Parts: sequence; C-alpha cells; structure tokens
Amino acid sequence: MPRDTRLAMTDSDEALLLRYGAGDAAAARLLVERLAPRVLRLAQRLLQDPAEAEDVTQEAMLRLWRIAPDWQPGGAMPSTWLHRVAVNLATDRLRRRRGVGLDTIEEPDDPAPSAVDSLIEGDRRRALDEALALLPDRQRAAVVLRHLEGLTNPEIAAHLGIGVEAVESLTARGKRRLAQLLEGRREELGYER
Amino acid sequence: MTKTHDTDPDGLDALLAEARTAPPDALPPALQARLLADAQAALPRAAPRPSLRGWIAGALAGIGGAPGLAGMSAAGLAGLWIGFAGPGPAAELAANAWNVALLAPDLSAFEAGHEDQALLDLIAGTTE
Repeated sequence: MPRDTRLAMTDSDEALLLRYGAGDAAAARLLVERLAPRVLRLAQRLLQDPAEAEDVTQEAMLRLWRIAPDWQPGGAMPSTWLHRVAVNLATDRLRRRRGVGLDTIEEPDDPAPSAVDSLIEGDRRRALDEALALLPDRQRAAVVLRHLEGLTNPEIAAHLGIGVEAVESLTARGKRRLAQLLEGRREELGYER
Repeated sequence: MTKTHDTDPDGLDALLAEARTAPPDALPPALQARLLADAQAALPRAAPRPSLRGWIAGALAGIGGAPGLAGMSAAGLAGLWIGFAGPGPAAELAANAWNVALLAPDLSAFEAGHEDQALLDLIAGTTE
C-alpha cells in the first residue's frame, strides 16, 4: 500500500484533520482517540455534569469535523482550537445555568466543610476533581481554566464575561477553598506537613 | 509529590500541575460511538476519481455537446455512404462533376484547321 494512504500514530493531529477533510474517514477514529478524552475531562471539570460534559464534547468534535475541509495548515493546533471551542461551549452553559451574567451574582456560601469527609476515593487527582466539584461554578471555572487549562486571566475574563480583577479574586478564593477541602485528606493525599 | 513549603505550602499547586498533565480517562464507549457516527455523517466528500462516465462526458463537452456529436455522426455516415456508393475512381468522379469533356477544346479539330494555323503564323510574324 502506498505510504500516502496509510494512517500512522505518528501522524500529527493536523495531518489527520487534513486527511479527514479530504474524505478519509479512518483519520476520524485516531482524532477521536487523541483529542476527545481531554475535551470530555475539561467539560466535566467545568460543568460537573456527565451528560452536559458529553454534549459539549460531541458538539465541539462536530465543529472540528465541519471545519476540517477549510482547515488552514500552520495555524493553531487542532487540540488548541478544540479546547477553545469546548471552553466556550461549557462556559456558555455555566452562564445560562445561572440565568444572569456571572458577574452580577454574589458568590454563594462555601459548601459545608464536612462534605469532603464523604469522599471515598484515595487517588489524589480524583480527590482534586471531587473537591473541584464542590466549588461554586465561577470559582471552579476560574481555577480550572487558570491552573488546569493554562489560560491567562484576560482570556478567562473574556470566556466568563467578567473583569480581570474578578477572575483574580475568583481564582484566589477557589484555591483557598480547594486547600480547605483537601486539608482534611492531607495524609491520604500524600502531603507532608 | 513534590512541594515547596515557601511557594506552595499546602501542595495545591503541585497537585494542580499533576492533574494538568495526567492522561485522561478513556471515553465512554457510547460517547465514542456517537462521535464516530458524527464524523462519518459529516465526512467531506472525497475528490471524485476519474471514471469512464466522466471521461465520456468530458470528451462530449469537447466537441460541443450533443449537437456536436450529432454533426459528427452525420458526417461519418455521409462518408460511409460515399465509400460504398461512390461513382468510381477520383478522376472519373472529377470528370463527371465538372463535365470536363464539354469544356476542353477539341484538339483534333484545331489541328485540322489550316486557316487557324495561318492566322497563328501571321500573329507570330512568320511568313512562308
């Protein structure tokens, strides 16, 4: 079989996307395996709702399929583009979930500290995800986008429709709350004092 | 887990960094199936490969479409008819067509005309 008709794990995401855009259905499977799991994890971390997270993942991937024929090589990486789409979709849902602009609502009270006691998973990352789930939507979104997705504060502000100072405040409060939630599991999580 | 008491006293930054780079869980099979079905449904149509039908269509367009083809067919049939029912050798055909016999001078009559010869001699300035 000629080289140009084979798919390889070493092919870049962009090469696969271009092949899909040229009508090669086999490239889609590799792209799904490479890109979709991280998108689903991102959406789940932001939304804390498995069904909504899957919807966001499906919509983001569908947009990737649709843009494939017009994809311009040498620009943004497909994974970066896809994550931006997923962040947009997820934060839109967060904003609709609250019904009004995120910046117009007072931050709700912190959840009960005892909630962390109900966590049963010993894995550190699992515990982190579970602690994130206990944060209010805005704090969680700010922490996830800043510390798990690597967005800048102005980028987060644009996604959430709030000011940069509000993002800084949300991130700081979110991290403080996370530390409190994880404090009770310090030994279990492998921390040392 | 590594942590720095001065900059990360509660180890949270290290935990976040670990979570950021950790591989994600595999997709739920049902979701993966939906994603692949979407990909198949949205698959762009590949560029068509050259086919006999396409070649014929291209050739037909090159001669002016169906009217061109009809004209070429008529010309071909006419040639075939001429080939089968033709009047014979080309010289005979030309003779029939232009009626050469009627137009050509009768050389024997010309040679027999002495008056004509004398006239020609007079014109040429020769005398006997």
